[in-house]
Amino acid sequence: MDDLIREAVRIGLDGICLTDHNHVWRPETVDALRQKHGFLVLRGNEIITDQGDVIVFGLERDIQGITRLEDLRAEVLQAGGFMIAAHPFRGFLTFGVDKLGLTPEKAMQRKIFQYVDGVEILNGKVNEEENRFAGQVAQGLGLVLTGGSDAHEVEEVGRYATRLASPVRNEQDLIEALKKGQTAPVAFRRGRNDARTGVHP
Amino acid sequence: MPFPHLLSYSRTRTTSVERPEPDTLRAACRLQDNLMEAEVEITVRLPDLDITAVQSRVLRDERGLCPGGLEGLENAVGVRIGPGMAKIIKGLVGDDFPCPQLVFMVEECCHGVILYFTKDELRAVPEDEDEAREHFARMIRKNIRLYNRCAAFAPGSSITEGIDPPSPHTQS
Repeated sequence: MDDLIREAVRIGLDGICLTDHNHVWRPETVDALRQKHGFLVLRGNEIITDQGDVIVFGLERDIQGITRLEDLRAEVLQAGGFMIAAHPFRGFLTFGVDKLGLTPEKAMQRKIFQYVDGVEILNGKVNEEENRFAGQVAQGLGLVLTGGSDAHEVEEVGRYATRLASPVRNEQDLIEALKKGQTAPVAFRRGRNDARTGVHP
Repeated sequence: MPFPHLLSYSRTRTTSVERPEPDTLRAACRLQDNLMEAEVEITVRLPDLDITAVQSRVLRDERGLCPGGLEGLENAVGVRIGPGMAKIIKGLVGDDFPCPQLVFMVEECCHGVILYFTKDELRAVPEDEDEAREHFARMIRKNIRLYNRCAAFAPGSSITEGIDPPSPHTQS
């Protein structure tokens, strides 16, 4: 984790979110990392639902196994949290969109988009076409747009990021910024010239 | 019986997919071995590939692990066929489901649906060897999760030459 944070600092990120699968980081552990590196580290959680992976902020409960999307939504609403559909079209090009007849309009009807607040439209683990398709769907539905590296290795940190309009000091600030929808997913790591390039206004 | 100490065992498992309507696929898996005979059928809606129905029938069960009327498989209804489906289906059906063979057959049906679409892709492979290799390489580049999914797509194969392997977690 120290290496990951050092790398995030090195490439110029202002903060990172730890969103391990079905794992809740202890606040004191993350606080210690924050203090040690003088760097913003925030906690999230990527939860496996029956409709796909969902990144959640603001939920303290350690959820294990597969959760029904409706149940997760109810819990997150109660907690005042925020839900993001993670890489919603990962792997859908296995068959080719043309063969499935999947259009952004049809995809907008998917259940998952009725239960999330935002959509990850730049994910470091899917290809550009899958990201582009997610962007079309999210924009069509007017959902909040985010980007994330989905980094599992140090060198993957910052490939994509989310630029926020207001300063964020803690998880509550992050949730409020997300709820305002003032976000811009960015391709961060391509180079300094691209570092400030948001793909959406 | 000349060799009573020898065990005789055979298994046949087949999966078939049909498309009764333009927006519907039906996949059926049939299993027959010395201990069990069963059928599982799933119905899948296009274009989202979500499972709309699951039916199962156990015709013979020598071990008594799969009694009729088992509940749990229907929890797979609503799951979308694609990456992560096996984990989701197992999780929804539950670890305590007494007949893992039926769960496996649901997954087989899902794989059958995937292969239904892959078939056309494979038919489009050029006959020329070099062009065929490039065709497969393009398939992998387009969907990096295919990397190392079979011997032909394994590291060191001529098809994967020049293709960077995905991060170990890409395929999770």
